[in-house]
Amino acid sequence: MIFLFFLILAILLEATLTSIPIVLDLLLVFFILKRKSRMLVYAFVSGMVLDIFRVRALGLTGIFFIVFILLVFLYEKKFEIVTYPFVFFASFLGGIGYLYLFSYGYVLEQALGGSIIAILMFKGLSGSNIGIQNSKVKIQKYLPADATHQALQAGK
Amino acid sequence: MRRKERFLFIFFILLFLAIIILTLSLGGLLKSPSSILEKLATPIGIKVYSIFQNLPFVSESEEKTKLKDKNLDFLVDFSEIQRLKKENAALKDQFQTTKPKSYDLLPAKIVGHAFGFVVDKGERDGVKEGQVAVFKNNLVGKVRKASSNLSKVELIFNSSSFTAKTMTKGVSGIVKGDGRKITIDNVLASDKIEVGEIIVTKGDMNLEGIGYPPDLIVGKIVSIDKNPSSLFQKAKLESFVDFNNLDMVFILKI
Repeated sequence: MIFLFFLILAILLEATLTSIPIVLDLLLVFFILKRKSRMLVYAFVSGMVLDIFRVRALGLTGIFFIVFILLVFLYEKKFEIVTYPFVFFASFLGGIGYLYLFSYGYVLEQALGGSIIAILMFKGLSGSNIGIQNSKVKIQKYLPADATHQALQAGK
Repeated sequence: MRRKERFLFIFFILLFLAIIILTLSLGGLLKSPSSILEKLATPIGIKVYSIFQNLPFVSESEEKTKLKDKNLDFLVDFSEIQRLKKENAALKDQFQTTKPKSYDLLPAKIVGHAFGFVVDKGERDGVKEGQVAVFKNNLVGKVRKASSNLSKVELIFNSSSFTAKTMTKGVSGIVKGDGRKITIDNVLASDKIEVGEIIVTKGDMNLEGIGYPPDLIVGKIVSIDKNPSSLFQKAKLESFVDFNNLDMVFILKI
């Protein structure tokens, strides 16, 4: 529910006021924290809604979002993703791709702004109960990837 | 392994669905469903946009807004006087007669704002790509894309390029937007332009009436870049329109 609330808010903000990819950042952060396949569905639907509000060809943003989530998923298999550097770089690179694809200006500045928002969301949601209340993942600040993987397995 | 398979299964289903929707949408076969969705989305967009516009740290003080409005009104009057003066002179000369064209102004509420406006009027209201959006005789931008019920207006400082002239002396140049600022370029170095001069459109319209009509205010010159070795000079412009505080524009239809 909390996620849906944030997602709707992010969609409304991005649809009406800003071109910073807030929805992309939110999807990234929640995928990292929750690791649920249904995030793909949310990504697809939110992409469609943004397409309507932004007068784009329907489906374009949805494709971008689900491919982005897939890349994070594939990266997750090999490396640790529940870290601040990963959130920063993933949101930055994703933001650049998104802003470039949809021909917005100030690409670097906006992508950087998006990364900062993603970091803040990640910090806020992982630190509070709402983000990872039901999650099996905790931030592993000092543990290497293997140890985190073991922790995840233990959580299951 | 099961999680990965499940994830990839959902991914490929959604990707397939999205590609089908995209193909149909690009082929124009989804106009009716997207029109319904746009109709549902438009009031939400207007409401949310107006809520954010009225936030104290976003909106300007009432007095400042009133003064800006008044300033724009004076500017419109001034531009009209200049146009009438020229028209009068032309009639006196009897060589050229400028026939003032009448334009239909279609009021359009802003639904979204980010590197352009999304407005609540579309093809169904007669909006076509290439028509211009104005606010009190001031050029706001050009319709870049129109769907059934919504249109995307590209602002003048984005990537527009059109011919313009100074309001008083008629010195010509090309106005360009680079995403951050508006400049008037290709002004002959021998022509005299001054800071504070008002720039208006020269008129770039095709036979269907699509494009920039003449005498719309683009902005005023704030700085001039003149190189003695160059054939041309350019100047930086500033629009009179406060794009952040607009909640309505007018689409110009002929």
